[in-house]
This record gives sequence, structure tokens and C-alpha cells, in this order.
Amino acid sequence: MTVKTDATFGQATTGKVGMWIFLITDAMTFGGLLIGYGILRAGNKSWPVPSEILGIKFTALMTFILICSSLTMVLGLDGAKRGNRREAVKWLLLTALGGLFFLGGQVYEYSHLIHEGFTLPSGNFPATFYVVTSFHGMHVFTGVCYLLITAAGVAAGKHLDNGANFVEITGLFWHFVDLIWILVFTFIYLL
Amino acid sequence: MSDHPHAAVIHSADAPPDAHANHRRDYFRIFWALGILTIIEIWFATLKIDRRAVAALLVGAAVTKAALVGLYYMHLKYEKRSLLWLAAVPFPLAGLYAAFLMLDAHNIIRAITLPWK
Repeated sequence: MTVKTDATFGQATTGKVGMWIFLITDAMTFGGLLIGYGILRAGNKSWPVPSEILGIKFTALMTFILICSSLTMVLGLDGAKRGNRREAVKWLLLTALGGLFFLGGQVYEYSHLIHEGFTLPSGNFPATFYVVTSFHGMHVFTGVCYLLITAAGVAAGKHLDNGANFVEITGLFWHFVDLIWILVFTFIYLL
Repeated sequence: MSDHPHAAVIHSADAPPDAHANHRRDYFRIFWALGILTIIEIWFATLKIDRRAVAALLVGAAVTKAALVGLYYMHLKYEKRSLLWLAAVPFPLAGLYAAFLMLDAHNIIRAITLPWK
């Protein structure tokens, strides 16, 4: 099947442009949550210092895992573009594994924080922290499912046509998840 | 056609092997840049200087990292300008919106909490 392109966006397929439009709307949702966090924080002089409550080193490791998974994603796309099915599947599965490690880290972090009394109703900081990070975590979970479905399709000999357009669209979603985490890590953990 | 000369290469399954090798090299360079910037960010967060200066440094590093992911891993650098603008324009607008709202944060918080007082 040939995927149509629109002259307005050059060689980007309609699927890719559609994914970009979805990602922009999703970014607005994250933007709204982060702005809400910013307003509550700016309007409260007794807001706690996040680095004194949250484990920065552990979260930095989780960030590094997501960065690694972005690398494996582009290597998977590179393999798919070259028509190397085996390599594409290997890197896609490693990307999904990176996502699962991240989710495991988030579960560990939450259980540790809840044990310390940092619960959802215990204040504005924990409430906004859990809403933003769990919303991102749901994106990671969706991304892992998306990656596994794509890897299964590639293993079955699909998705390598049209310059591996399907794999590239999957990659756009995964890189977006990484990009959002870069901002969440800075605004919620480090600032 | 795309504005960038590499665009045709990156979207073609028939691209020459050296083009793929160049992209792989770029991918690894960006990976190391992201890793190093993350370490620098953590160092910024520990600096005992004015918090506003620390915030500016952290936001600068985060925006640089986000731009690297968008341009190289999401291939915006190789797409037609119209797609680049479609993706890039909302972000500074959201930043401006956030800045204005946060400047007025005390009034917003008061307006929110008044009905319960």
C-alpha cells in the first residue's frame, strides 16, 4: 500500500503529520499540568524544596534509561529503514525493555515516597507531583504497548515498506515521551 | 520536496550505506550530549548561587535537551519547514502563557481559595 503525502509537509506522510498534531495536543495537556504546578508553587512561599524530598540520583538514573531507550529506538528505525528485520526487532524490544525498567523505577519510587508519608492528599506538592508523573507514566506504558505491537508486526514481515513509516511514527511517540520526561525532570525534580 | 538536502536520504530505504552510517554517528553523538547535559543539570541543581540563576541554567539545559531530541531523534531537522513550525510554534507561546500566569500566581491562588474561606 502506498502512503499518500501532502505537498505542504514535503515527504512527511499523512500518518506522520497526524501523529505530530496528536503530540502537539498532548503536549498542551502536559503544559496545562506543568503550568498548574508552576502557579501553585509560585503562589506558595512555603513550598518544599523538591530535591530534599525526592531522590534525585535515582530519578537521574531513570532519566538515563529513557535517554538510552531513545537511542535504541532510532537504531531500531535505522535497521527498519535498511530492511534489516532482525536488527529492527532487537532494538525495538530493547526500547520496550527500557520503558519497562522506567515503569519499575516509578513503582519503586512511589512505594518509597508513600511509605515516607508523601501521599496524594498530603499537600499541593505531592498532589501535583503524582498527577504529572503518573500521567507521564501512563504514556510510557502506552508507548511500551505500542512498541511491542510494532515489534510484533516487524517480526511478521510488516511495517518495513514506505521507508519504515510505521516504525518512524511509533518512534515519534516514544521520543515525545522522552522529551516530556526531560521537562518533567527539570521542572518538578531539579527546580 | 523538503528544504533540507538530507531529507530525501533519511526517508529513503534505498539510501546509500554511508548516509545510514552518518545518521548512526549523529544518533550516538546526541545520546552522549543528552547524557552529559543531564549530569550538568544535576550539578546546576547543587550550585549555591541565586535560585533564579539556577532556574535559568536548568531551563536552558532542559530546552537544549528537548530541542536535540526533537531535531535529531524526531527528525524535525530533516523535515520541511512547515512541519518544523507546526511543532515549534506552540512551545514558546506556552512558555509565555506560563510566565504571565505565574507572575500573577498570588492573585490566582487567592481567587481559587476564596470560596472556601
